[in-house]
Amino acid sequence: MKIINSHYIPLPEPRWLIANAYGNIYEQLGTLTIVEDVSNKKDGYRIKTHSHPVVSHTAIDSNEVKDEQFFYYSTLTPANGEVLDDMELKDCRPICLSSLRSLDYWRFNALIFVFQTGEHHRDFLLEDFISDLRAFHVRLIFPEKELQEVTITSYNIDHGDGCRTTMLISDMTKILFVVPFYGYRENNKVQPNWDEIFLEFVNQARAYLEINSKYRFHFKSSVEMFNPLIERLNNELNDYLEREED
Amino acid sequence: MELDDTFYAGKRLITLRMVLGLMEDADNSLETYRWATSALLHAIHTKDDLLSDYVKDVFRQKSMAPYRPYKEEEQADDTSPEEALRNIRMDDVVMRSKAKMAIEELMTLKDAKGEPLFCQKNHWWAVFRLFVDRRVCKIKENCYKEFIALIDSLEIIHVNAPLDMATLSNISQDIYRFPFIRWELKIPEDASSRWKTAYTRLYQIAEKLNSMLVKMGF
Repeated sequence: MKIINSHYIPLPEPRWLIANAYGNIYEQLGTLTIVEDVSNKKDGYRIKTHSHPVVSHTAIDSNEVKDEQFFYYSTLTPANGEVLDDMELKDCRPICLSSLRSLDYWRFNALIFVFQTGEHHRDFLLEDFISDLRAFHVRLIFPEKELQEVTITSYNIDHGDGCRTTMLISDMTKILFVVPFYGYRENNKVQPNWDEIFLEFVNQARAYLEINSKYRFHFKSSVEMFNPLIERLNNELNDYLEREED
Repeated sequence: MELDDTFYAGKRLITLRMVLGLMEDADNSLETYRWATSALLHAIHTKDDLLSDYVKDVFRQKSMAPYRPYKEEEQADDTSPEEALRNIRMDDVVMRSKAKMAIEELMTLKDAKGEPLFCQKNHWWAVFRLFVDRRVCKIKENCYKEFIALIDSLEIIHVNAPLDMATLSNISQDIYRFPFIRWELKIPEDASSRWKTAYTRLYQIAEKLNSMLVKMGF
């Protein structure tokens, strides 16, 4: 590999908070660009560029914050200015400006949809993402209505090479649930059992209660195949959730 | 010198023809791969650029690599201390030490007869349930493997009953799959007395562990 040049581009303030594919959040201080020579005889002169984010793990001065959880979070993290060598900017998504720390549920849904259906979807945890947002003091703007209607349908994702996954997703304009339903790998159908699917819904519902503990979910679907699942979700999901009033 | 040059040129021509013929006659891609690799080695050894360029072209056309792609072996346990230090987070350290203390204390508790309160494999259900309820160490519903890995990594010196996957995953068959606060409401009406005694013991364990975790700030 021949590296022609590398540059560090510092970003002006206010800087952006970004999330990588695993849902970890950082403040982006700058970008390290690397220009690589990939010329060959066949195609002639070619270059390839890589851009790695240079980040700060603690976006707020931890001396100013009295929150115990954030204090723990910020201690022992690597010092500011780390280059994320395993992630490029195309794998990361901007969340919000560090001066306006707020995220509405439309953009939140779009972000978690990208993460939960992307390449690293097995490593993405919704609870961690929400708790990281809390740690960075990002205000989440979510609908205040207590009863949330969740309409479930299926969605196919083609990963190429005969590998296909079907997800159960709900309406993107409301509270979003994304649960893996079954996958095809080289024409072999891999289907998790209904119990696992149900418990994944429980985990995600529990994560949303962190945002608003008054949420009550009512599920419905026009697909007949999902009726047993919908019935179980409507009957049992509430029993699994712990609310402050309990 | 002249003789040597013509000799090598003739030898090269023979090698080229041989390789060409053999690669075209090859029945499958593996055989082609073998002939091409040996030709490439020969080309490198004799510093024959023409042959090596030709063989590399063949590799490219057949979309093969001239060497076996390097496979990184999975060594999950063998992370370097620097890497471990990089990935550590203070809240994890605090949480794990608290969880370890809670379990160690639970193992020392005694019942009315003076015997250990925690004595059966299925008593781990109470620990799992409380860890999920109180969100200790990011344990979620259905994360049995992660829970076992967590308990293993805590390296608790003495446990009264071993923890295994088969017993732990049976939690989904009983009322203990619900949060701890709902256990009392979910007791089946036709429960046998044997089931009820097991339930009271599990309930005691869960209650003790719950109060410990609440004190610790979970």
